[in-house]
Amino acid sequence: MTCFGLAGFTTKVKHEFYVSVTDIYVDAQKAEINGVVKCFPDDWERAMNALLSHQLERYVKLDSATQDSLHRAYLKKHFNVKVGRQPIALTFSGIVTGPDEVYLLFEGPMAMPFEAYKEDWTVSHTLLADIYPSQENIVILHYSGQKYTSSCREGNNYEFNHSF
Amino acid sequence: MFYIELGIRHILDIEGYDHMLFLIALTLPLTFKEWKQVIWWVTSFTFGHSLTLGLAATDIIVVKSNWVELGISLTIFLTAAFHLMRNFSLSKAGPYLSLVFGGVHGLGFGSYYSFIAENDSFWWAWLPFNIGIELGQIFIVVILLFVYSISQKIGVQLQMLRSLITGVVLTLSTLMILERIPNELF
Repeated sequence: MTCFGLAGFTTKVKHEFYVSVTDIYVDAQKAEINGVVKCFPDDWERAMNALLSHQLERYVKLDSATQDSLHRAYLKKHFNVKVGRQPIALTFSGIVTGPDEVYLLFEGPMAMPFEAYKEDWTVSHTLLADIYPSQENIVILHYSGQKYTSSCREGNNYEFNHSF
Repeated sequence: MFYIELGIRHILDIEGYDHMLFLIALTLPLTFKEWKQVIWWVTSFTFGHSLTLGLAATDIIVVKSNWVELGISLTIFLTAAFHLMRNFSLSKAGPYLSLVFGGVHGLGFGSYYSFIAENDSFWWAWLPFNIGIELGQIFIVVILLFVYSISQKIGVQLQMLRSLITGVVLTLSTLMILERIPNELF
């Protein structure tokens, strides 16, 4: 009887991994905050398609300027970084697409002295969480040769804080 | 700490319940009395899992993911069947079974680990990640053994409970095997 009862239970193990990895650098030489978001191309394409107003439109068919405006808008909405409660004005600066990964480059001004970036980081990262609630966005902060890894996911409301 | 937590979450992720199912099958003959064997069996699994995870993540071993998925389902079925055929008696082969089958499970996670850890210090993250896996497994196994222990105390026959659980595991793993047979075979 147990066996019959279990027949209706799904055996498709949903262990697909919805994950991205973001590096954020405090670049003293260039006096800017920059970095890169790495995600899977199919996930990214799906997120971009969801932004299009017409169902028949496809992200891959758009010209690069229109694609870039989507990237810019999506990153602005889903990726926010604050230091000492001051938001960093990060903007999309380019995309590199490989066979297995998409790299989204971003940069922003270093508006405060370098030392101020040691304390009170707040990273809010909901990239792709709008289409995959189990999305986990791993973030690696780099400051003055130090590194800190954490992640934004449903369990922490896609946000974490850190001080070096 | 982050990678320890990630390892724990990997094991406890209910959406990837095949891992839990394997642990249930693996620990069928065990009770708290055999705690040394419990540690030994679980650690063997982690060792096999860690080794192949590292080898797959660095592309030293490359196996198509659909074959790995089939292999994982087979490990669950074979482990449960093995214990059932032995009438849930302890076997000296347990740790070896655990080691080899842990290796199959580790292959399934290589590409994910490679994706997340290539930006970080790959091997530096590998150790805490696998420590997390070990801790997550011990947590699940302790819960299972508690269930066995409480069931015994309330008068449930352990052999009957084990047979019931084996029936569930065999059914689910059979369905998994059927679903995961690679198309190349047809």
